[in-house]
Amino acid sequence: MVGNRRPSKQMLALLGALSAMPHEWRHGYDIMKETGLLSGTLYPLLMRMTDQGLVEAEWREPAQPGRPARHANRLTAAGLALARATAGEQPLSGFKEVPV
Amino acid sequence: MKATLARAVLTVADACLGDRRRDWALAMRGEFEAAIEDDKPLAFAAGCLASAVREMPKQAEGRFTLTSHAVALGLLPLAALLIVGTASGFPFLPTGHAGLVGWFAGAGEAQRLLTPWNRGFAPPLAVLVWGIVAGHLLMPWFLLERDWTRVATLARVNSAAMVTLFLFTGVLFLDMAFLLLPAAVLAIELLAIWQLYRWQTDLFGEAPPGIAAT
Repeated sequence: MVGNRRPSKQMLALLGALSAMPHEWRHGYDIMKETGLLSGTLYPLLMRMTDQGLVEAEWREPAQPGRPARHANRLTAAGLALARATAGEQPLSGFKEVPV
Repeated sequence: MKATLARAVLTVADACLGDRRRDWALAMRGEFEAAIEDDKPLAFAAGCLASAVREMPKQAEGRFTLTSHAVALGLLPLAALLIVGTASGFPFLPTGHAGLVGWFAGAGEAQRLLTPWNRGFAPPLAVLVWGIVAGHLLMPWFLLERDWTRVATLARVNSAAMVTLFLFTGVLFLDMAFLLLPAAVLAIELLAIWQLYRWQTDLFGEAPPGIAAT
């Protein structure tokens, strides 16, 4: 489970993006574009949050034939609870690491 | 071109993530097409590689891989030491140097190891020494491939060559002290390999490379 440490800015941005439409499955690259997080920041976060039971992931069939299957992510109940608990701490306009 | 380079970077990231994070490696690959469409494949792949490298010490498999590379890199200087030693007249080549001890001491005085009556043995002894050096150079390669069958074969060949070298040295009444370096190198190598093998057996069981043990 998630520890008592305060979530980082990047994690808050991710929680914010995923909790905006909590039941919707989101692809990694779409999350990157929305939050401005780089792949080098997003994937370690997603891995850690999945290990902590905050995020769940499933495979989605590709939209076009010949493309690889895509991983889709969304918050679990625990993740959603954390997102709501930290909602006040979230950056107003999303965390912008660099433009993607 | 950019996409090809990015794909290569992503393949390295994939390898770094290992079996336990295979799902995430595939997830990155799945998003890669989106990055190409967005014309940012290289930045995406570089980020994935950075994630994978940062993830390695956190996973037992990653720690094993990092240690394997450290051991493999550590074996290369030992092999290099043997090459330099051999090129300096160590231990049987009749080059007229003072041998290893003299080489370390900086002695310029010639101290021939081989006498005129046993100089005929120089070629087979030289072949043996260079064979051992070649074995030490091949070992890191097989180690990184986790090809334990070849590693074991090479370890046996190196050990047999070393024993033969000891026997020749004894038969020719040569100074056994010159065998200390190759013997020490072999002992260090065998110990490191044995420890790595035990670690990998604990980690992966008998699962072949590429398949995570349950």
